[in-house]
Amino acid sequence: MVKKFIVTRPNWDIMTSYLYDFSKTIIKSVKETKDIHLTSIENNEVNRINFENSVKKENPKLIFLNGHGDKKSVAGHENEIILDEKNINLAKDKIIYALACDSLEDLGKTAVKEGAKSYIGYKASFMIVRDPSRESNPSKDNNALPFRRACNTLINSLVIGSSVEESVNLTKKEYTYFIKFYGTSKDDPYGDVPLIRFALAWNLEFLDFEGNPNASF
Amino acid sequence: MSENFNLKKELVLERFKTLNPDSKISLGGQEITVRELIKHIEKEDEFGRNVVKAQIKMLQVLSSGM
Repeated sequence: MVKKFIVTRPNWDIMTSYLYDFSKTIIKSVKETKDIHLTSIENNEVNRINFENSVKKENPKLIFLNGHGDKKSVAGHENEIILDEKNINLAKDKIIYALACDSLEDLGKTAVKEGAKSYIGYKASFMIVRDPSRESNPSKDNNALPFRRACNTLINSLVIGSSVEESVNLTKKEYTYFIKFYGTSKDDPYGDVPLIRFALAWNLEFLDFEGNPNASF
Repeated sequence: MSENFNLKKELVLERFKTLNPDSKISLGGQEITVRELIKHIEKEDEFGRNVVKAQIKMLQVLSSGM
Protein backbone atom coordinates (compact mmCIF):
# COMPACT_ATOMS: atom_id res chain seq x y z
CA MET A 1 0.00 0.00 0.00
CA VAL A 2 1.32 3.42 -0.97
CA LYS A 3 1.89 5.76 1.97
CA LYS A 4 1.26 9.45 1.51
CA PHE A 5 3.66 12.14 2.65
CA ILE A 6 3.38 15.94 2.36
CA VAL A 7 6.28 18.37 2.70
CA THR A 8 6.07 22.18 2.75
CA ARG A 9 9.18 23.99 1.51
CA PRO A 10 8.95 27.79 1.52
CA ASN A 11 12.06 29.52 0.25
CA TRP A 12 11.74 33.29 0.56
CA ASP A 13 14.34 34.45 3.10
CA ILE A 14 17.69 33.28 4.37
CA MET A 15 16.38 30.91 7.04
CA THR A 16 13.81 29.27 4.79
CA SER A 17 16.44 28.95 2.06
CA TYR A 18 18.50 26.87 4.48
CA LEU A 19 15.53 24.70 5.47
CA TYR A 20 14.66 24.31 1.77
CA ASP A 21 18.17 23.13 1.13
CA PHE A 22 18.18 20.77 4.13
CA SER A 23 15.06 19.01 2.81
CA LYS A 24 16.51 18.33 -0.65
CA THR A 25 17.93 15.05 0.62
CA ILE A 26 14.66 13.57 1.81
CA ILE A 27 12.85 14.75 -1.33
CA LYS A 28 15.43 12.99 -3.49
CA SER A 29 15.34 9.73 -1.54
CA VAL A 30 11.53 9.58 -1.30
CA LYS A 31 11.18 10.21 -5.04
CA GLU A 32 13.19 7.02 -5.59
CA THR A 33 10.81 5.04 -3.39
CA LYS A 34 7.82 3.44 -5.04
CA ASP A 35 5.77 2.80 -1.91
CA ILE A 36 5.62 6.46 -0.83
CA HIS A 37 3.59 9.12 -2.65
CA LEU A 38 5.16 12.51 -2.05
CA THR A 39 3.45 15.87 -2.38
CA SER A 40 5.98 18.66 -2.06
CA ILE A 41 4.52 22.17 -1.82
CA GLU A 42 7.32 24.57 -2.67
CA ASN A 43 8.36 28.22 -2.84
CA ASN A 44 5.47 30.69 -3.31
CA GLU A 45 3.02 27.77 -3.55
CA VAL A 46 3.30 27.29 0.21
CA ASN A 47 0.13 29.11 1.20
CA ARG A 48 -2.79 28.18 3.40
CA ILE A 49 -5.18 27.25 0.60
CA ASN A 50 -2.72 24.98 -1.19
CA PHE A 51 -1.72 23.34 2.09
CA GLU A 52 -5.31 22.72 3.16
CA ASN A 53 -6.33 21.43 -0.26
CA SER A 54 -3.34 19.07 -0.45
CA VAL A 55 -3.95 17.64 3.00
CA LYS A 56 -7.66 17.14 2.29
CA LYS A 57 -6.97 15.53 -1.10
CA GLU A 58 -4.05 13.29 -0.11
CA ASN A 59 -4.88 12.52 3.53
CA PRO A 60 -1.18 11.85 4.25
CA LYS A 61 0.02 9.90 7.28
CA LEU A 62 3.07 12.14 7.61
CA ILE A 63 3.41 15.92 7.20
CA PHE A 64 6.79 17.63 7.29
CA LEU A 65 6.50 21.39 7.74
CA ASN A 66 9.50 23.64 7.09
CA GLY A 67 9.23 27.35 7.80
CA HIS A 68 8.89 30.01 10.40
CA GLY A 69 6.77 29.33 13.42
CA ASP A 70 5.65 30.59 16.77
CA LYS A 71 3.88 29.00 19.69
CA LYS A 72 0.55 28.96 17.91
CA SER A 73 1.29 28.56 14.21
CA VAL A 74 3.55 27.44 11.39
CA ALA A 75 3.98 29.60 8.29
CA GLY A 76 4.69 29.25 4.60
CA HIS A 77 5.67 31.70 1.88
CA GLU A 78 6.26 35.22 3.21
CA ASN A 79 5.04 34.13 6.63
CA GLU A 80 1.49 33.29 5.56
CA ILE A 81 0.17 31.06 8.32
CA ILE A 82 -0.64 27.61 6.97
CA LEU A 83 -1.39 25.74 10.20
CA ASP A 84 -2.89 27.10 13.40
CA GLU A 85 -5.69 26.27 15.80
CA LYS A 86 -8.34 27.16 13.20
CA ASN A 87 -7.34 24.36 10.83
CA ILE A 88 -5.52 22.05 13.24
CA ASN A 89 -8.23 19.44 12.63
CA LEU A 90 -6.23 18.71 9.45
CA ALA A 91 -3.66 17.05 11.71
CA LYS A 92 -6.12 14.37 12.83
CA ASP A 93 -4.65 10.84 12.59
CA LYS A 94 -1.37 12.20 11.25
CA ILE A 95 2.21 12.56 12.38
CA ILE A 96 3.44 16.14 12.06
CA TYR A 97 7.09 17.13 12.13
CA ALA A 98 7.46 20.91 12.26
CA LEU A 99 10.97 22.16 11.57
CA ALA A 100 10.05 25.60 12.81
CA CYS A 101 10.44 27.71 15.92
CA ASP A 102 8.34 27.29 19.04
CA SER A 103 5.30 25.50 17.63
CA LEU A 104 5.48 22.41 19.83
CA GLU A 105 4.72 24.60 22.84
CA ASP A 106 1.04 25.31 22.10
CA LEU A 107 0.15 24.16 18.59
CA GLY A 108 1.67 20.72 19.15
CA LYS A 109 -0.42 20.17 22.25
CA THR A 110 -3.55 21.42 20.48
CA ALA A 111 -2.86 19.15 17.51
CA VAL A 112 -2.73 16.07 19.72
CA LYS A 113 -5.87 17.14 21.58
CA GLU A 114 -7.58 17.41 18.19
CA GLY A 115 -6.55 13.92 17.17
CA ALA A 116 -3.03 14.10 15.71
CA LYS A 117 -1.09 10.91 16.41
CA SER A 118 2.04 12.87 17.28
CA TYR A 119 3.52 16.31 16.81
CA ILE A 120 7.30 16.70 16.73
CA GLY A 121 8.82 20.15 17.00
CA TYR A 122 10.74 22.64 19.06
CA LYS A 123 9.60 24.17 22.35
CA ALA A 124 11.70 27.27 21.63
CA SER A 125 13.44 28.76 18.61
CA PHE A 126 15.19 26.48 16.15
CA MET A 127 18.78 27.69 15.90
CA ILE A 128 21.49 27.43 13.30
CA VAL A 129 24.86 29.12 12.88
CA ARG A 130 25.58 30.21 9.32
CA ASP A 131 28.73 31.15 7.52
CA PRO A 132 27.69 34.55 6.07
CA SER A 133 30.00 34.05 3.09
CA ARG A 134 27.97 30.99 2.09
CA GLU A 135 24.42 32.19 2.60
CA SER A 136 23.71 32.33 -1.14
CA ASN A 137 24.61 28.65 -1.34
CA PRO A 138 23.51 26.88 1.86
CA SER A 139 24.61 23.46 0.63
CA LYS A 140 28.22 24.68 0.79
CA ASP A 141 27.91 26.15 4.29
CA ASN A 142 29.96 23.91 6.57
CA ASN A 143 28.67 25.69 9.67
CA ALA A 144 25.17 24.47 8.79
CA LEU A 145 26.26 20.88 8.23
CA PRO A 146 25.56 19.47 11.72
CA PHE A 147 22.12 21.13 11.76
CA ARG A 148 21.33 19.71 8.33
CA ARG A 149 22.43 16.25 9.43
CA ALA A 150 20.31 16.29 12.58
CA CYS A 151 17.20 17.52 10.75
CA ASN A 152 17.64 14.92 8.04
CA THR A 153 18.15 12.17 10.58
CA LEU A 154 14.74 12.91 12.06
CA ILE A 155 12.76 12.93 8.83
CA ASN A 156 14.67 9.98 7.38
CA SER A 157 13.99 7.96 10.49
CA LEU A 158 10.28 8.76 10.34
CA VAL A 159 10.06 7.95 6.64
CA ILE A 160 11.66 4.53 7.03
CA GLY A 161 9.02 3.69 9.63
CA SER A 162 10.75 4.22 12.97
CA SER A 163 8.52 5.37 15.77
CA VAL A 164 8.26 9.02 16.76
CA GLU A 165 10.12 8.36 20.00
CA GLU A 166 12.89 6.42 18.26
CA SER A 167 13.26 9.13 15.64
CA VAL A 168 13.48 11.95 18.18
CA ASN A 169 15.94 9.99 20.33
CA LEU A 170 18.10 9.21 17.30
CA THR A 171 18.15 12.91 16.42
CA LYS A 172 19.09 13.83 19.97
CA LYS A 173 21.99 11.38 19.69
CA GLU A 174 23.02 13.09 16.47
CA TYR A 175 22.97 16.50 18.17
CA THR A 176 24.96 15.05 21.06
CA TYR A 177 27.52 13.51 18.71
CA PHE A 178 28.07 16.81 16.93
CA ILE A 179 28.34 18.76 20.19
CA LYS A 180 31.12 16.42 21.25
CA PHE A 181 32.96 16.00 17.99
CA TYR A 182 32.17 18.88 15.60
CA GLY A 183 34.97 21.33 15.11
CA THR A 184 37.76 19.38 16.64
CA SER A 185 39.53 20.00 13.34
CA LYS A 186 41.53 23.18 12.78
CA ASP A 187 39.07 24.37 10.15
CA ASP A 188 37.40 27.13 12.13
CA PRO A 189 38.71 30.40 10.71
CA TYR A 190 36.03 32.56 12.32
CA GLY A 191 35.97 30.89 15.74
CA ASP A 192 32.38 29.73 15.20
CA VAL A 193 32.66 26.29 16.82
CA PRO A 194 31.72 27.34 20.39
CA LEU A 195 28.57 29.00 19.04
CA ILE A 196 27.76 26.02 16.82
CA ARG A 197 28.03 23.73 19.83
CA PHE A 198 25.81 26.05 21.84
CA ALA A 199 23.15 26.16 19.09
CA LEU A 200 23.25 22.36 18.77
CA ALA A 201 22.79 22.05 22.54
CA TRP A 202 19.88 24.50 22.34
CA ASN A 203 18.17 22.38 19.67
CA LEU A 204 18.91 19.23 21.69
CA GLU A 205 17.30 20.80 24.75
CA PHE A 206 14.15 22.01 22.99
CA LEU A 207 13.41 19.26 20.45
CA ASP A 208 10.55 17.09 21.68
CA PHE A 209 7.19 15.65 20.75
CA GLU A 210 3.61 15.44 21.94
CA GLY A 211 1.32 12.48 21.47
CA ASN A 212 1.88 8.80 20.87
CA PRO A 213 5.58 7.85 21.14
CA ASN A 214 4.93 4.64 19.23
CA ALA A 215 3.26 6.27 16.22
CA SER A 216 4.98 5.48 12.95
CA PHE A 217 4.57 6.21 9.23
CA MET B 1 16.65 33.17 41.59
CA SER B 2 18.43 30.25 43.29
CA GLU B 3 22.10 30.20 44.20
CA ASN B 4 22.45 27.22 41.87
CA PHE B 5 21.10 29.25 38.95
CA ASN B 6 23.40 32.15 39.79
CA LEU B 7 26.43 29.85 39.68
CA LYS B 8 25.36 28.47 36.31
CA LYS B 9 24.65 31.97 35.02
CA GLU B 10 28.12 33.20 36.00
CA LEU B 11 29.76 30.17 34.41
CA VAL B 12 27.84 30.67 31.17
CA LEU B 13 28.52 34.42 31.13
CA GLU B 14 32.25 33.85 31.53
CA ARG B 15 32.24 31.47 28.58
CA PHE B 16 30.25 33.79 26.29
CA LYS B 17 32.51 36.71 27.19
CA THR B 18 35.44 34.84 25.63
CA LEU B 19 33.67 34.78 22.24
CA ASN B 20 33.61 37.41 19.51
CA PRO B 21 30.73 39.68 20.63
CA ASP B 22 29.69 40.25 17.02
CA SER B 23 29.34 36.56 16.13
CA LYS B 24 25.75 35.69 15.27
CA ILE B 25 23.27 32.87 15.68
CA SER B 26 20.18 32.55 13.45
CA LEU B 27 16.93 31.83 15.19
CA GLY B 28 13.82 31.91 13.10
CA GLY B 29 13.90 35.00 10.94
CA GLN B 30 16.21 36.85 13.30
CA GLU B 31 19.87 36.94 14.10
CA ILE B 32 21.25 37.50 17.54
CA THR B 33 24.81 38.45 18.44
CA VAL B 34 26.85 37.11 21.31
CA ARG B 35 26.68 40.61 22.80
CA GLU B 36 22.86 40.40 22.80
CA LEU B 37 22.92 36.85 24.22
CA ILE B 38 24.98 38.16 27.12
CA LYS B 39 22.44 40.96 27.76
CA HIS B 40 19.61 38.41 27.89
CA ILE B 41 21.56 36.29 30.36
CA GLU B 42 22.30 39.30 32.54
CA LYS B 43 18.64 40.37 32.50
CA GLU B 44 17.57 36.81 33.38
CA ASP B 45 14.61 37.04 31.00
CA GLU B 46 13.00 33.87 29.64
CA PHE B 47 15.33 33.73 26.65
CA GLY B 48 18.36 34.37 28.83
CA ARG B 49 17.38 31.60 31.24
CA ASN B 50 16.99 29.24 28.27
CA VAL B 51 20.45 30.24 27.02
CA VAL B 52 21.88 29.28 30.42
CA LYS B 53 20.00 25.97 30.31
CA ALA B 54 21.29 25.13 26.82
CA GLN B 55 24.88 26.10 27.57
CA ILE B 56 24.85 23.95 30.72
CA LYS B 57 23.46 21.10 28.59
CA MET B 58 26.37 21.60 26.20
CA LEU B 59 28.88 21.46 29.07
CA GLN B 60 27.24 18.29 30.38
CA VAL B 61 27.51 16.66 26.96
CA LEU B 62 31.14 17.68 26.58
CA SER B 63 32.12 16.49 30.04
CA SER B 64 30.25 13.20 30.05
CA GLY B 65 29.80 10.05 28.06
CA MET B 66 26.31 11.19 26.90
